[in-house]
Amino acid sequence: MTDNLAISVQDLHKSYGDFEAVRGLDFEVRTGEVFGLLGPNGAGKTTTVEILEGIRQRTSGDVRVLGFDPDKQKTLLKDRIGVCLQATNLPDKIKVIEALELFGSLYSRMLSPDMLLKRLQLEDKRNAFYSTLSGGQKQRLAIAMGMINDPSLLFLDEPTTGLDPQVRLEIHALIEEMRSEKRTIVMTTHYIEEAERLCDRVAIVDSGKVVAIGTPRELQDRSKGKSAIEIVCDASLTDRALPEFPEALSSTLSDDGRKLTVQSSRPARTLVEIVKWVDAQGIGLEDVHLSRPTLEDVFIELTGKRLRD
Amino acid sequence: MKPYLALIRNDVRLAYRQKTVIFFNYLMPLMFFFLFAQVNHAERGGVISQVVTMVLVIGILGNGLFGAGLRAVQDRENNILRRYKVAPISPLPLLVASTVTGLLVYIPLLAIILTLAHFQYGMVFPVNPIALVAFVLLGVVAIRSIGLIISSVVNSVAESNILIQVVYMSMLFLSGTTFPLTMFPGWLKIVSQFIPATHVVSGLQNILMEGESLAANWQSVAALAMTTVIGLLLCVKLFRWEKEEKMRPTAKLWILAVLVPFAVVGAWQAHAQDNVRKSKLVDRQISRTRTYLIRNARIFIGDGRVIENGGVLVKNGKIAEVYDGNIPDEKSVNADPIEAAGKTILPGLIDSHIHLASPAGFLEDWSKYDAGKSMARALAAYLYCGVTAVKSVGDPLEGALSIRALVNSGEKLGTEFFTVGPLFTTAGGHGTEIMRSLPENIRASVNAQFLRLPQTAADAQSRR
Repeated sequence: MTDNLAISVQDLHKSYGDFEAVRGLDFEVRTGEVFGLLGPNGAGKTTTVEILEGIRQRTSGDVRVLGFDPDKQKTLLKDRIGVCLQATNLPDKIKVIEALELFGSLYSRMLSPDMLLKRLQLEDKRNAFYSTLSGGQKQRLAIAMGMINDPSLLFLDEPTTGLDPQVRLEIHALIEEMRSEKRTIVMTTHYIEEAERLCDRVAIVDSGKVVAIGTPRELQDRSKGKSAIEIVCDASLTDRALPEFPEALSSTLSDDGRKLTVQSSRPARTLVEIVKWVDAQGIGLEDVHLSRPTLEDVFIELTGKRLRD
Repeated sequence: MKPYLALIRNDVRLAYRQKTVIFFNYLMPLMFFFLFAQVNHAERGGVISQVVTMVLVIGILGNGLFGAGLRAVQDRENNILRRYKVAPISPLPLLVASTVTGLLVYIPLLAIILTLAHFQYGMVFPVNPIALVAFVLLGVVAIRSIGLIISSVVNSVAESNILIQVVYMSMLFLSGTTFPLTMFPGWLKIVSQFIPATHVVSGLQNILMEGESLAANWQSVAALAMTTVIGLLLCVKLFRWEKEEKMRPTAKLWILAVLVPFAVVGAWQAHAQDNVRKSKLVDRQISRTRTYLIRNARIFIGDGRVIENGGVLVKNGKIAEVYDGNIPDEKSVNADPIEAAGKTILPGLIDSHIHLASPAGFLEDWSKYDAGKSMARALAAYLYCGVTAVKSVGDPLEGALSIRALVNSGEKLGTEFFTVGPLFTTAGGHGTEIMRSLPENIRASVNAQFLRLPQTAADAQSRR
């Protein structure tokens, strides 16, 4: 196994009785990158991640995580990885520091709990009972628990689901910090902008297979849905003859004639020409809007499904 | 080792922070202790040992079924166990930690109850303290493993509530923990032998009240030990980290596997009736040790004095005090009062020359004569008439010895029985003429047991 690969998955299959949840999954995760797994429920991403974490047995395929086979070297593997599960729960009456010390003692190597508390800004909650923590604090504790054994590979399952925007930003910052420490991170998420912002590479998974893999930008570019330029004018364009704008693929005018939507493969170029033309007509521009295709658009194109139901 | 210690420390800490644990492990048994002691007037005699037994078992049931069983299900249903799944840990440390925690939480209760019983109610310090503690702790781990097995096979907190309550209630009411076994009809006594808690109760009673050793209770010890081992092994096998992994309904049958040792013991007990017999003895012991104050009676002391209006205080089966007037209030002497106004108390009569096997009167059909039954009935009749001790000067030896064991142990009710050995005479000497009048069918065996006819001096001097 090459040194710079943290995870290598080849032709992974997993069946539950007659139902095939994973049907030949292939991907690699390089050391030190943040890797995202995107896909709807039932796509097989949870199953795949569980197989990588060593808590579910695969049916067939070759899997290497940090050089270990998750089926055969479970305990060794679990000792070296960190996991932050969605909806972790702890007993109401356990104190924050006690939880860290307890889980830390299960591993062969343990970071200082107090140091982690400081890093995750939970120091003043050190002796607080778990039930008194807010949602954001509980999630930060879960991440601290995921890091207690100083893992080189961290699995984050929906790390910001259900948290408010401010907390989400804090956790994003934390993930970027961890990345700069050369930890490899595999995360699953429903939030497109999170995947687009944080991940070095993303795999889109549907029905047990990888349908696309690459950097967020690469995937966006693959989208057939091109960028859309939308302008709002102060007068109707209905009776004007619209020219062929360069690189434009289609033009649509709204009913009142004031909103023009143009799809283009090179939006910047097209936009300049549109503005020049509108100006030449003597019409004023009220609003301009430019949108790029998102990963969700890519996803819908590739699978015909929405990411979230 | 580090994970085990960390888990145990965590479990014990969390246990003491939970109100339900404090309630089921300490408050409830203490409440029952004072309640039972009051209701049974424990200050008036040996019944305190029975109260202690009952309360300790109530504590064991709460500890094992609710402390282990319910808590394990809650941890799984609340997604607490899930986090352990991704750590390099197997189910075994979790189960072991739970068991050790149960023991550590129980020990203070044991100490408190024994201390209270001794200092507050005068319970005698147990003869076999080590056997007592060992047996009690074995009971804790055995019931705890039953609780853990239940938690392994249920699929929701609601289900576990039902199952644990059913098991708890049946063990509480059918094992002798709350109602003594002697109160039950025969068929229910047999059913109770199949319940693990019954054997905890009976073993505890035997060790605490009769001073028996662990070895004497080997059946209960073996069954409890086996249940513990089977239970823990099964729990490891059936362990589930997440509530999403559901058990098939038939999986609940695994609970029966844990009860197999008790099916065996129960069947044996149903056959041998050993435990039932012992619990009857224990019951009788308890009532004999009560303190009674018989009062307002006319009393013949036996040395010539007559007390016209007096009282007798009986403690632990012996006369403690005789009052000539000035009869104390029963509460001040912690006694049950017995009104005897208009009645006379005599010392027990003693008949020093009886032949127990001789039937009183004549039988129409000698072949129907059953010496064993007749002797037992005669002893009971003597007692009923106020004869408290008899001495047999000629009876079939085997029969006499066996009836003596039954009556003097308290198993059968009868007058205290003393007996002499076989008749020692020459051929044709006094006593041998009686043989001729005996019916044919028993003459030979009576001769063999009853007569000793030495032919030489050496024969006479030898001990047969």
